[in-house]
Parts: sequence; structure tokens; C-alpha cells
Amino acid sequence: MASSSLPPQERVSRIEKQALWIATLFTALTIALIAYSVFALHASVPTCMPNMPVFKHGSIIKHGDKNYEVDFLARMWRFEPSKVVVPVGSTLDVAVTSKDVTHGFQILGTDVNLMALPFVLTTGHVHFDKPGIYHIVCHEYCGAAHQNMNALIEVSNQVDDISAEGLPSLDAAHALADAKGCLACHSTDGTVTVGPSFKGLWGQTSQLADGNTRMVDASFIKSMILHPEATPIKGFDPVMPAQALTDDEIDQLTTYIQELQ
Amino acid sequence: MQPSLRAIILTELLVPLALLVFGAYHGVLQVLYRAGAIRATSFGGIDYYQGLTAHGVINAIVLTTMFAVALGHALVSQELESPLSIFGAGLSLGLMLIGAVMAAAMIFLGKATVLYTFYPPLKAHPIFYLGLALFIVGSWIALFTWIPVYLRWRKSHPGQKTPLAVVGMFATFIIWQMATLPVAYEVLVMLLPWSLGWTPGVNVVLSRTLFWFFGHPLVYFWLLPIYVLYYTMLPRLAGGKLFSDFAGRLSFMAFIVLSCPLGLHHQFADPGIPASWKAVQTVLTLMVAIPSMLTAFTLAASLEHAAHQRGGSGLFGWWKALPYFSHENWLFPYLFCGLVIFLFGGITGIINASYNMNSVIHNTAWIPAHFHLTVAGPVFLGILGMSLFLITGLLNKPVAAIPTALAVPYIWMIGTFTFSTGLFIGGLRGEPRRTNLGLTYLNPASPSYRPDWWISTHIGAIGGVIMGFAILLYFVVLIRSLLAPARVNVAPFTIPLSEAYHDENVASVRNFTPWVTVAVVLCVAAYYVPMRDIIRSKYQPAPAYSPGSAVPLANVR
Repeated sequence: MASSSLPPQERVSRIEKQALWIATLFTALTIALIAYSVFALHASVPTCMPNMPVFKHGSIIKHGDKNYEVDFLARMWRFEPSKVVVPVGSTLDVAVTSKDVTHGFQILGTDVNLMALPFVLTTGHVHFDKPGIYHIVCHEYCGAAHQNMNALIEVSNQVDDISAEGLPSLDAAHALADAKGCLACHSTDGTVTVGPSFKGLWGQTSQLADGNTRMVDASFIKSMILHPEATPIKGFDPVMPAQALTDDEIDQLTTYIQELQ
Repeated sequence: MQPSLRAIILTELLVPLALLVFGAYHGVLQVLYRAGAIRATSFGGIDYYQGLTAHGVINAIVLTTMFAVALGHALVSQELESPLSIFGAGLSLGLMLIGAVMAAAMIFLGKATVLYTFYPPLKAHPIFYLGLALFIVGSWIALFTWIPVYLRWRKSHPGQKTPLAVVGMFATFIIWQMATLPVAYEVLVMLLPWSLGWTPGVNVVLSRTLFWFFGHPLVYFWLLPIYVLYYTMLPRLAGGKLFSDFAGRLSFMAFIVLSCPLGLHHQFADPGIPASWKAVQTVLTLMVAIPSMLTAFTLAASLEHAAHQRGGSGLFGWWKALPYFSHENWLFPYLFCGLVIFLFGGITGIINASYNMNSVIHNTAWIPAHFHLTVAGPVFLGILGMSLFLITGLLNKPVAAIPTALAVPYIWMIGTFTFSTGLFIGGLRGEPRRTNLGLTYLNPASPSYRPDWWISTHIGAIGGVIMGFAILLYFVVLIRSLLAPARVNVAPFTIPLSEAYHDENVASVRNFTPWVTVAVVLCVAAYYVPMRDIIRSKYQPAPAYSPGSAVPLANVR
């Protein structure tokens, strides 16, 4: 309070200098804490890995006992694999890339929070001590069905080794459905996402938005592929784009849906 | 003021406010979607992500930029006592209007549902990119109309201090000029030819890096016009003087130096960029806290000085003496509430910029919670208040319904704090941003249903609705003021600016050149190596996708 006897000009300068010092010290302290977490605690952020080859399919790889690598392929609008089960005490190296647009990848409740960019690889590392469900959420807008895009890791004390669901199939018809984008909205395991699942669809009676009904048969599948806007289905948003497929491709997909009973 | 300049300024204030009707409407809709109150892809003919794109482009780009240009025209012409080139100001307005209409038309036609960050390889219509580019070029021309006026003034007023408001507006637009060059390159050289199908793919890492070179200084471009109001108007509105004029000048120069070389802190989670360079830019980012804290100190000191003039006393008791509900100084709470909100925006910003701490909150709802405390706090309240002040002043009209006008910033502050509290909690629980949660995560019928996000999304929704209500009240005041008859025989309108508490030596912060030079050197130092590596990288170029299909567009054709 002694400074209040000084003329205003000097008083202001002195208080100002003190404020500037406090601000500088605060900033220096913040930077020091970050440096501590990086050098002493080894906390890090994704970096550049120019020589790592980028994978084209999701997969699980065993490196040792309870030591696994999971390659997650982010794609409109699911992760490949969609579910991974690992034993308690597992250490996971996750590698993430995208097949199409920009996606996000966060394993909730862990430090793994990554961006999945097309044809660029990124990695994270996580250790699971406690059993439970760890949700993976796509947190970057990636198109119309972004809100459907998630996966999960189940950490279980009931299993001894890793297993996964939602990995790519070698079936030719499945590959065609994948290449034409069908699987972005239609699952093959009964889960209803943006559109109905292909599983169990054949022979069902569809309720149309206009109140009519249609049996799911070859002709209806063909008309839904070529002119989806003509017959909107009750309970689903009319977002399906028309697909200019050949008759041969439509036949293959029809057989595929028929077989997924 | 020149009559045509007055018309230009009024257009630049009123057009974005008219667009804001939709921007704010879709803000309210978003919190309802996110809480699961709306469980659909679209409502009233507008898709969630389409509305989100419009909300970002209208509120964060069009409104903020046109306001900055209008305020700059008004302050530069008034403080340098000189007419501006009407051709320049008119061309600037014309390009911005054409650009905004092009971009908005594509958004409303559903041809540009790519959000305001327009990350490739999601592709918008070429007219959207062209519109954005024209809009930005229009805003550049504003600065070019002020430069000759400033140089003439300096020549005819040797040794005199440049008015602080002019220093602030020039700092704002110098930062804008530096920041928008890379994004102009991204839009014109990379995205436009690619969206026309002339190039097969884009380097996604490069385009993101160019975008964020722009994306963070964009935040300072939003904030600095409001800093100008804080330094040059707030002390006088409070009934006092600016505590330190030198601190204001130093802050503006520090922002010129530090605004650009730090965009990588938005890409901590990105691959393709070395962690070491992310760390370098972390340090540069945190240094921005210094001019910000200096500003906070100077403003608090100015308010304390004003409160003492009004009879306030005591270490904390003086707070009670400020004109919170004064009818003459109705603009005061717009600036004051913004300042209170900004304290929390600043603190959470330091958290976000803290390198590895970002992993906890990256791309969660925490991020919009943070930036609504900056851009929807001080920036938006400053724009609302000052637009009303300028519009009524330039039209010689009284502000109608002053009690309602006084309530707006307080209601808005309550709404913003509630909204952000919900989103902060949700973000820490992993709730993603930019996601139509109501369709899946907040839908009990969906296999993805997350009951643990119920509370946070609902707190967010309550806040969002309160914010919507505040805007509604604001439009009542604005429209009633516009409809009121003009006053006659009033003195010509001038913006009342604060005096400084005392006369300081400002020689070290008089010229822009040294500060701009340091800024350019720092930008090159902070970006040269990572940018060179990204350009040399052999990433496969990414082909274009429409947001509605998992099949690349090239295959559809």
C-alpha cells in the first residue's frame, strides 16, 4: 500500500510490471508442468511415422501373452473390427487409419484419442487392468450416418485370448456389397443401423411410408437399388442413394441377401 | 460520416444479423437433437449436419467478419478524421455479400454439408469454395482502404500517438491477412480444382495443416475487435478511464506476433506431424496467455478505477458500484458479461492447448463448451451490443425497450454457462461433438444408447434454449428500435471512446513493421519443417466423397 503515495504514472507502471511478471510466471509454470508430464511421465501425442505401411483391412495380431495389436480400419460408417474381446491384463497397441474420409477414434475412459485420416497411419497404446466394456466412438463428422459409427472393446476375465467381430469376409458377394457401399448402412448380423439389416430381410413384408406393403423379393430388391426414392420405407429416413448397378451385380446381391437367413 | 459509408456499415451490420435468425434457430435445434428431444436426421426440411454447417458459417464466419469490417470502417474514419474510399469499401462489401450468398445457397440446397471446417475428402459444391474465397478477399479489401488513410495521418501528425482503436483494428486485420493466405491457398489451389474433378485427390494432412494455420488466428480475429471495444469503450461506459493505454498497444502487438505460429495445437491428435513440432507450438500457444492476462488485468484495473469514481470503495466492495443496469449506459453489461464469460473461456483454452492433456477432451463436447465461452461469450455479446449501438446511432434512432435490452446479456450469460456446463460434463464422459446424438446415443431404441449422457445433454439443452430466448429478446429490441421514428436535431453520431488514465511513452509499440517482421519469422520457424515434411510425404491422395455415400464420387460417375 506504500505505492499509493507515488504519483499515478509511476504507480501504474509498477503495478503493471507486477501483473506482467505474474502472467509470465504462470505461463512458465504451465509449460514446466507439461515438460514434466512429457519427460518424466512419458505422456505423448500422435506423431509422424513416414515409413509405416498402411493396412487395407482391420485385423487382430498376437504379439505375445496378453500383448496384442489391433488394426482398426475406420470407414463410412463403422470400424473394422467392430468388437474386440481381450482378457483382463491385456496390453493393446492400436493402429488406426481410414479407408475413405476423416474419422475420429477415441477409446472412452483411456488416453487413446486419435484422428483417422485416409491412407495415413496413427497409433495408440493402452493397458486394460479392469474388466468392462470400453466404447470406441467416431468423434469427427464423417457423413450422414456419423452418429452410427462406434465399436467396443470388451475386457473380460472369462476369456484367455483375443477375439474379434466385424472383420472382413472373404466371400465374393460380401465383398461386392462392401465395394458398392451397401454395408455402410445395412449390417449383415441383424443390427438395424441407418437401414434394415440384410440378415433375415428376405421374404419379410416391408411397410412402406405410404401405407402399402411389399414383400422383399428379387424385384423389390432391384427396385430399391435402382430407385430407392420411389418406395420410402416406414421407420427409415429416405436417405438411400440410387445405385447404378448391372443386372449381374443385382443378381449377386439378391442371392447374398437370400442366403443371409 | 460520408452517407455512402454509413449505408455500407449499416448493410454490413444488418445482413449478418438477418442471417443470424437462422444461425441461432439452428443452435437451439442442435441442443434438442443432441438431447434426444428430436430423433430424426432432419427437422423442418433441414438436415442436422446441414444446419450445423449453416450455424458455423453464418455465426462464426459471416457475422464476425462483417462486424469486424463495419467496426473498422467506423473507427478508422472517425479516429483518423478522414473519409474512406467508397469504391474500396463498396467493393469489399459487394464481394463479401456475393461470397456469403454463394456459400449460403449451397448450404441450404444441401450441396455443402461439410461443416464450417470443410475437411476433405468430404466434398462440397465448387460454388461453396468459391463463395468462401470471394468472401475472404472482400474482407481483405477493407484493410486496403484503411492503409492509405493511416499513412496520410501518420505523415500529417508526426510524433502523435495513433489512436488506440485504430491500432486495434489494424492489428485485427493484419492477423487476418496473415492467417487467411494459407486457407486461400487450400481453398483455391487444392479444393476448388479437386471439387471440379480436375485433380484426382488431395493431401489431407496438408489441407488440415493449412486450415488450422488459419483456424486458430481466426479466433483472435473474432476476439480483437471486442478487445478494441474493451480497451476503448468499456472504461468510459463504466464511468472512468483506461488504466493503461500502453498495455493495450502492447497486447495488440503481441497478438500480431503470436496469433499465427501455433495452429498445430488443433492437430495434437493428428497423424503425419512430428510430436516435437507440436510441442514447440504448444509453448508459443501458451505465451498468448501473457497478453490475455495483461488485458484482463488492465480491464479489471480500469473497472476498479471507474467504480472508485462512482463512489465505490474497499478491496472488493467496489464491484457493487459499477453501472450494471444503467439505462444511459445499456451497452455496459454487453461488454461486462462477455468479459466474465471469457474468464472461463480463457482458462479452458489453456487446458486444451496443454499438449497431452488434450487427449482427454479432443473432439468431445468439451470443445464446443470451451469455444462458446469465447466466440459465443465476449465476441457474440460484443457484436450484439455494438451492432445495436451503431445501428441506432447511425440511424439517429432511440434504443427501444431498454429494460429488455439490459436483460439480454444477463440471460445470455446464464444460458451460455448452463449450456457449457452440460457440454463440459458430457465431454469429460466422452460425448462426441458434431454428432446427431438423438438418433443413436440418446435414443433408447438404438443399440448404441448411452444413458450416462442423458444428464449432460439435457443440461446443455436447457442452456441452449435459454440462449435462444435471449436472442429472441434481442431481436424484439432491434426490430422495435428500427421501427421507431428517427430523432431530429441531434448532434452527429460519434462512438464515445475512453481517455487514458495517464500519458505513457509508447515509442516501442508505435510502428507495426518490427512486430509484423517478428511474426513472419516466427511463422516460418514454427511451420517450415513440419510443412516441408507434409508436402514431401508420399500419402496416397484422397479421392472425393459426398457425405451421403460410402462410395467415392469418382466411382459414381
